[in-house]
Order: sequence, then C-alpha cells, then structure tokens
Amino acid sequence: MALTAERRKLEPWQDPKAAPYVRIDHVTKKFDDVYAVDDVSLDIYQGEFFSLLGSSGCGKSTLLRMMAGLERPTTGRIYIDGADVTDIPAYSRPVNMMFQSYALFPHMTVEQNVEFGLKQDRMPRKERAERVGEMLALLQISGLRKRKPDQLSGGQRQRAALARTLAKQPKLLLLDEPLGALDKRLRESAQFELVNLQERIGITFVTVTHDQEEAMTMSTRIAVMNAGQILQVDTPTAIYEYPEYRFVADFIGLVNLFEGKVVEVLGDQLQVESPIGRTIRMRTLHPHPIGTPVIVAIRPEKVRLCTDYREDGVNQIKGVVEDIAYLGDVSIYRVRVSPEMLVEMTLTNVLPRMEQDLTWGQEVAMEWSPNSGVVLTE
Amino acid sequence: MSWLPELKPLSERRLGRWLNIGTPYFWLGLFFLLPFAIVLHISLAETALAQPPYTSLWEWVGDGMLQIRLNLANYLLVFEDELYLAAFLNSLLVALICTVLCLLIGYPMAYAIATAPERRRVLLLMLIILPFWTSFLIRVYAWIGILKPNGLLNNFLIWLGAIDEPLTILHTQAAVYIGVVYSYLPFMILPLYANLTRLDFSLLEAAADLGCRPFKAFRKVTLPLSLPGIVAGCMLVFIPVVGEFVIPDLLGGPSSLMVGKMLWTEFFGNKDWPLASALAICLLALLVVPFVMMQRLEQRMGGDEL
Repeated sequence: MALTAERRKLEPWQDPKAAPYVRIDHVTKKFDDVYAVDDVSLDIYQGEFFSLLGSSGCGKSTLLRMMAGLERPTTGRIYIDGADVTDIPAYSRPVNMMFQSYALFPHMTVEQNVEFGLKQDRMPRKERAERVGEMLALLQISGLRKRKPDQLSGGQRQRAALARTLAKQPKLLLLDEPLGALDKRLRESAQFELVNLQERIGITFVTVTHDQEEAMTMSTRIAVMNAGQILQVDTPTAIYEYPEYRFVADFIGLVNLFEGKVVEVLGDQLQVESPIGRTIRMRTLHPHPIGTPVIVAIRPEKVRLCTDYREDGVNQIKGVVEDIAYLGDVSIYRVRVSPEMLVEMTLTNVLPRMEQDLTWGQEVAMEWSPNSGVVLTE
Repeated sequence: MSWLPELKPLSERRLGRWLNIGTPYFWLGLFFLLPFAIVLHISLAETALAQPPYTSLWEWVGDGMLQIRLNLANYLLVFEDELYLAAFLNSLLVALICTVLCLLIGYPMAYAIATAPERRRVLLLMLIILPFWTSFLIRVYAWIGILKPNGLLNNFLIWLGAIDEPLTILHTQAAVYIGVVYSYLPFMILPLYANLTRLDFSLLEAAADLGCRPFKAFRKVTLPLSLPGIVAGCMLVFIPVVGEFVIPDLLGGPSSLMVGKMLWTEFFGNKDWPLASALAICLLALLVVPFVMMQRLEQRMGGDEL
C-alpha cells in the first residue's frame, strides 16, 4: 500500500524510512529477582501521543521512568532523537516528566514551580518571566501564579504540573497517569484538552495509564503491557478490533471468548467447532491449519438479536438472559448459553428501557457476522 | 423525624466541651503556672535561717495593714555580678555550639534512617533510642571512664601509636561538648527523622527531572521542607542544654561556668533560695526568646512567605 504524504505524517510508524524518535532496544529492568520490564523493544515516533497501557505492576511505569532517567535499565539501551541516553542522568536529559502525584514543590508558589526548571538552565531572568507567563497562559492558570500547591484544586494542580514540565520545552514529555487523580467528569474534558495541547505544541507525548478508555481517546498508538512485556503495539482501533492476544482482547473493553478447534478452512474464513455445541465461522488474518485449538473473540456490540434461529445455524447461539446492565445509551445483556458460559450482547436502547420486551429469564437467540471478530491462538 | 440523632441538651454539651478544653489548662496551671508562681514568689523574698529558708513577702502589721515587701536585690545581683552574666553567656554559647554540632551530626543520620529500607529503619531507630534504656546519669559517668587520662580513649590512642602521652580531655570544655552532643543527639535525630520520613521523594525526582543536580536538589527542596524538623530538633537540644547541670558538673572542669551548675550551687550549696529562684526566672525569660522565634517561623511556614 503506497503511503500518501499525509498518511506518512499522521502515521509515521507505517513509513519504513521514518527514524524513531525514541528507541527502546531490548531493555530489561530487574528489581532484585523480579523482572519489572522484560526485554522490551519499542519505537516511538516524533509527534506521537503514545500510551503504555496495562494493569498495575505490569512494568509500564518502570519503562517510563527509564525513559526519564530515574531508573537505569539492567540491560539494553535507550535512544532519544538518535542519541544513546542510557547512561545520562535524569538532570541532563532533554526529557521532562509529569508525575502521578504531580510532585509540585509544596514550599513554592505555582510561579516558582514553573520557573524551577528554567532556573536550572540559568535562563536570564527576563526571558524566564516571559516563559513562565506563556506557560501559565497556555494552561489558563495565570490567575493562580501566587498560590501554593495546597491552595489548588486537583485540576489546577494538574495544570500547574503540566506547565512546569512544558516550561523547559522538552523534546519528549512523559506523563505518569496524568489524569489519574482527577474525578471522572474532569478527566473526560482533560483528555481532550491534553490531546489538543499536544497537537498545538507538537511535542512527543508518552503516557502511562491503566485506564483503557483514556488510552483509546488520547493516543495515536497504544502499547499493551503485561508482566513486564509488551504484547501488542497498535492504533486504538486496531487494538480494539484486531487484538492479537487473548489478554489484549480481554483487557480492552468487553469480549466474548469462544474456545474451539478449527474444523474447516474456507478461503480466509475458518470453521470452528466450539465445545458448547455451536459452529462458528470467522474470518482470519492469519492461517490456522485444521485441528488447531483457537479462541474466537467477539465484542458484545457485534452480537445482535437473531430472528431466524436454526438448531444447526452457524454463528448463532441461544440462551437465557441472566443480567441486564442498563447504561442509559446501551444495555449489556448477559446471556447464559451453557452452564459454563455467558455471552454478552450490547444493544442500543432504541426504545426506552421499560418499553422493551427483552427481560430477565427470557430465552433469546443471538447471531454475529463472520467478519465481526478475530481468531486468536493464545 | 426519628432518624435524626438525638441531640443532648445544650448545657450538657457545654459541660463536655469545657472538660475537653479545660483539662490541658488545668494540667498546665497545676504543674507549670503554680510552680512558676512559687519560684517567682521565692525570688522576691530574702534569705532567712528558717525552714523554708526565705522570708514571707507579706506581713500583717496591725491596724488592718498588710505590708508587702518585694526584694529585687537578687535580680540586681544577677545582672550586676559578672560571674552570673558570664555563666549565662557561657551557657548560651555551649548550647549554641552543641546544637550546631548535633544538627551537623544528626541530620545525615536522620536522613540515612529515613531513606533506609523499611525493615532496617526499625532497627536503626532502635539503636538511636536504645541508650535511653540506661540511666542518663550512668551514661554520663561512663564517659568519665572513657575520657579520663588512663581511660579507654587515651589507652586506645596510645595503643594505636597516635599519641605518646595521655590527652587531658576530662574536666575540660571539650569533655562537656562530647557529653552534651552524645546525650542530646537523639533529641535532634528523632524530630528530623519524623520530618524526613514524610518527605515525598518524588519531589527530588521531579527536581532531577527539571535539571537539578542531587546536591542542589537537597538545598532547594529537602532542606527547606525539613526546616520544621530542624527547628524542632534545635529547640529540643538548645533549651535543655542551656540549663544543663549534670554534664558540666561531672565532665567539665572547675572553669566551666554554666547556669545550671550555678543554680545548683546556690540552692544546695549556699542555701540561697531567693537568689537561685531569681536565676531560674532569668533563665526562663531567656529561653522564651528562641521559643517565640520558633512560633513566628511556624506561622510564616503556614503563611505565604518562605
């Protein structure tokens, strides 16, 4: 596929000639005997909003701290803008980090906090004041310049911390759970703001988050981590629609996982026999020979009501509604299809909930199309 | 509205509040203000060969006349006699030097304990507190054994070949410094440790991230944030050392003039309770100054300055 110039700019990772801005080369970090980060290699390109996503303890923060220079890799190298920075201490790296706790200096005002990094660079006083003013204006906290951190709200603190990290105009901005301390409503607006800010100033952002929605909303690409390793690096859509591992499929959003064996190969589609007695036909991106044990992953919103259920129907299943989670816009139905298995189905609430006739204990037939999911092996 | 908690009658609640607030006042009144009043009272009396050895301040002289006699001579003596003035100044100087020494030794120790791994921290703190299990007096006596001409220290140095003749340390000012720093070091370390364990070390990481080298980060972040701990530790050392009696008496020489020792001599040696009381009152007044300074500083830390 030929890349257009536009595409090359928006998706530099597609361009084989593009040089990565941050290169993590076989990096391992051991704490005593525990591998926090286990042989990770990763390329991040200029202008990206890159997210490291994983549950707590998966090594994402350690990886970020190694980019900042706050931890040293046990083995492996880290390059930023072509230069090997592995042995360069944090205070000499052209990188700034926003801490999860914000780490604002409590004995300094917002202004002094923002100025701190500039003072370390021995920037002249006049220039310094200008830059501080710019940063405070950029984050709309000019009115708070004389306040101390404990006189700020959570959202204001986040802005002050962001202003402080941006003041030095770093080549790379690292954000450790940047929105973790904000309440849900504020978090949603802050997500968009952060993305707009990044697009405006053009600095490469790398964030760490455990919140998949946050990662999906903000990122150009997401790296899903588990147990110190990166499982998959892809765009939010690809991560969601084409997960490569059961863990990734399970971690991001809801998913129905049908275990089974390949019984027939029909072009790019596989026929899978599931132990719960149903036949599943699914398109596959990778060839799987007959007899391979596979997992078919189908998202709940891709499951729909079936009107022509047949006992030997392909991609059809029947069960009893056990739970209904009403979320306002959609409802998630959990349908018991076998003693061991529940299938989740998301339906848009086209009619008000009380006018719908699908309810608890009711038998329901469901179906999905052969290109609505993915076939996984592990 | 039975779901509302039933409120007690106002008078009952008021009584509870009075008890709550009143207890510390009662305590301070009984064990601080009353003794202080007694000492103040004695300081204005005259010595007498009686039991207790001072005259009464008031006397009925008939015709419904109450005569009150306040003797200010003791205070005048304290300010006029150069010996007392020298003792005060020397006490302040010794206390100041010892406080600085304790801070210089105690800060790195407190920092090391605060940054040690959790498991080792308990052990290290135990080691700091352990000497308290032995009587203060015995520990000071033990220093005589260490510092005397044929004591442990001199014998060790001679054995090393560092010196040929025993050093005279005992009964010098140096011995007082050694004894005081040794005895009061825990009082410096403990408040500093309490402060430094609360220090958020991500602040130092943030400083490093913003381009600050470790030593400068210490100066710009750790030190100002640990100021309350430094002040508390310094007060805990300075105030008692000014009035310290045992250490200069046992380890110091005859020339080591300190207020505490002087007080002791006046009270028990010369049986001059009024003069001793006047000395005690002056000492107290002197110590109020650093205390007020500390409070000022604390207020400022809470405010917008600093």
